[in-house]
Amino acid sequence: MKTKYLFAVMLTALFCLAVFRLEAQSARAVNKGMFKSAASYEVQVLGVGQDGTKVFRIWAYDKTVEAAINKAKRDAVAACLFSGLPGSGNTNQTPAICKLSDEETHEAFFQEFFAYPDKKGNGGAYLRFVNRTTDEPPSGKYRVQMKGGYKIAIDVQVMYNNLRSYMEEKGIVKKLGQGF
Amino acid sequence: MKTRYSYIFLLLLTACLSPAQGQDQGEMLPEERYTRNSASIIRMEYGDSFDARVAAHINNTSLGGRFDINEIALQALKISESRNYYPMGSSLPTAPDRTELISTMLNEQQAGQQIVAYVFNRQSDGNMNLDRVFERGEYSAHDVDMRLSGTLKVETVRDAGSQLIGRSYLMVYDVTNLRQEYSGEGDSRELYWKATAALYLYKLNWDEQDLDTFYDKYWLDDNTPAEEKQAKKAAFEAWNIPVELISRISLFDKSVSTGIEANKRLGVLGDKKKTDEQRLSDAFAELHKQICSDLNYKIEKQHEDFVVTTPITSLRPIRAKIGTKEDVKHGLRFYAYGFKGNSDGSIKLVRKGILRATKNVADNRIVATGESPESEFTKIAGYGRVVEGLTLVEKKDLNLSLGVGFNSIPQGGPVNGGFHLDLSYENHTRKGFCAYATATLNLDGDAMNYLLSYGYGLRIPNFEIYPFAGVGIDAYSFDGDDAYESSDLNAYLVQGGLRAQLNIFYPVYLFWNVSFNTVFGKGYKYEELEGTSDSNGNYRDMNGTQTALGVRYCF
Repeated sequence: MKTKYLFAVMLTALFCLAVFRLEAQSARAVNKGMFKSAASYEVQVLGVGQDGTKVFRIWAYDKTVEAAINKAKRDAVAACLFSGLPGSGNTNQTPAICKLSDEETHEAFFQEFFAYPDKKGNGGAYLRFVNRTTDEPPSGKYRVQMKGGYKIAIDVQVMYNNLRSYMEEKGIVKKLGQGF
Repeated sequence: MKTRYSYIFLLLLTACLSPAQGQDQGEMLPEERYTRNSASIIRMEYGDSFDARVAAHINNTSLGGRFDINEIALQALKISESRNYYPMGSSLPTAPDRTELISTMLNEQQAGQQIVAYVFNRQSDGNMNLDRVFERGEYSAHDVDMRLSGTLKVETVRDAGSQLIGRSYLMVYDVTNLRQEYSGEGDSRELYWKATAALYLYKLNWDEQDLDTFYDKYWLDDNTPAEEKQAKKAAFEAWNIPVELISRISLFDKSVSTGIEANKRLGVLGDKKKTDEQRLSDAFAELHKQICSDLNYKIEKQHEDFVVTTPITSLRPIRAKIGTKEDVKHGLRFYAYGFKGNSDGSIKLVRKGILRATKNVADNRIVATGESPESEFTKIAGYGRVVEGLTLVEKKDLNLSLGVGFNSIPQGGPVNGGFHLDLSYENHTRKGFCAYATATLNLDGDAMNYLLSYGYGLRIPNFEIYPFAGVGIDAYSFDGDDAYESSDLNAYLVQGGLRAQLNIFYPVYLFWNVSFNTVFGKGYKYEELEGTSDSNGNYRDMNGTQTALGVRYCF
């Protein structure tokens, strides 16, 4: 009887460990995936932003509209960091702040930097560099229900210069002019 | 008899359901938000005695807040044809199709150039400015545009005014077959003002390229070199910007009673304060009011640029940032749509609910600040979930519904089931409540009754239940009934009851009436025909409980 009981406890513990580990792994995988795949960012520059800022529209997909908005905000910062922004009729192309290899080199930093906000709203530092241009929910063709979720687009303003300074401060990228 | 009723009922049900099923399919994707249009009003003149009076009424037509008005010099198209038109072989007057003539005249008289001149505030010396363009750009902007503009270095909101030029319209009203005519016989004979009418909608043919051409070749202001001014002024005056026909809608013969004959029949009790001339004048004004209102209703419903769209911005209650600026009125109907992506990359509309504006309509006739007031809406039908971000699309309706179905009589044998028809007008009250004024017709073989009733009750989305009360007449008819006074064949009916309505697929509802009748004032022939109770149930008695079941179509 005792052995049976012990066996059941061990099995439960093993199951729990496996699940938590899997969850942690998938969270990490998702986190990494967010900013690793440069090609996945669908971006449309809306015009010349105020000094030191970039204003563009970004698309994202997730299970709910709220989750997709969060993802879009994070993708907006990730796009500035790792893929840069395309040019438009009125704007020049914006280069990426980081090299793609920085992501591997400073993996722990970016895990923390890109952490999603918790229930209290505390999230990674990326939130300090991105704002939506409106508080209205995405609508019309910018809120499309897809199989298993929503594809949305939001207009964002990224504090590009501040973001770059922060990366320099943290030693992720070299300061402009350094090395000359 | 029963088979015939069943057939009619099934036919009507099919007719009702067919358009309803089709509503989710193949609709064009609406714009996310309403973009303001501008319009000029033009009338047709025939050189007859009516011209001045028609002009006075057409010029007073209000297109509503959703339009900016382009006050151009061209206000009338004078033609030398008759105002009266009867198609070959027809005794009914019809509004003639003058599309070709109007198109030619508008382009010959440079209506398009006049619009552009007005938008750019062109002065007599040829100088122009952007005041009106900027003003319209600002007034047309939504909160999201204002907020976005604040994040950009370059002004976008005021400049957007130049993109509105391509949404300039001309509305040409053609009132024809205008006449005074007697209709009806005996006690119902009356003098009417009658007319047919048509509205021609033209749009300025203008795009980005025209705007560039305009600034390059025709723009003239104080900074224009003196040697170029005269040439540019002349060039603009010679520039013909075409307008193209978008739509033509017409009305059948409309008539408004003067009430003169009815007043005369009242004799000494008649209203002496109003002269016959005044009655004629009032009816004439009312006729034109109805013509303009009907034509504008039809065109605003038909032309997609004029349909108000907006996203739902918040819930509990449902709110959206539109209001008096877009002509939102208490009771105005909207469909809430979501956009659904298909595996092939296409997007289709999915209707999530049917809403009406409550009485809390925001006065938003100001330049958006980013904190525009919101109007409130209530969901009346639809089985989808209405959430933030869905797009509201205006679907104007007449607030009418037609019910058809089967009807029982309280007691009797000869006809134990009949045909029920009702027409209801919804008088909107507030969230959670509904109110209807209804005219009902029930056919029971050789007998029929018609009632007027009023009901007020509860509504949750897709379901309404309300008590009603009404009065009416129950009557028998048969070959040779002309020999009797109508009072001999009739009885009066007082009815009180309860009606429940369940949405099947909006605008089609299933309804169920249960009511209790009291009959009084029976005519002697009525009593005779009503018969007496016998073992075969060979009698008909309207006293007691009655039910009706059928479908209702809202329009």
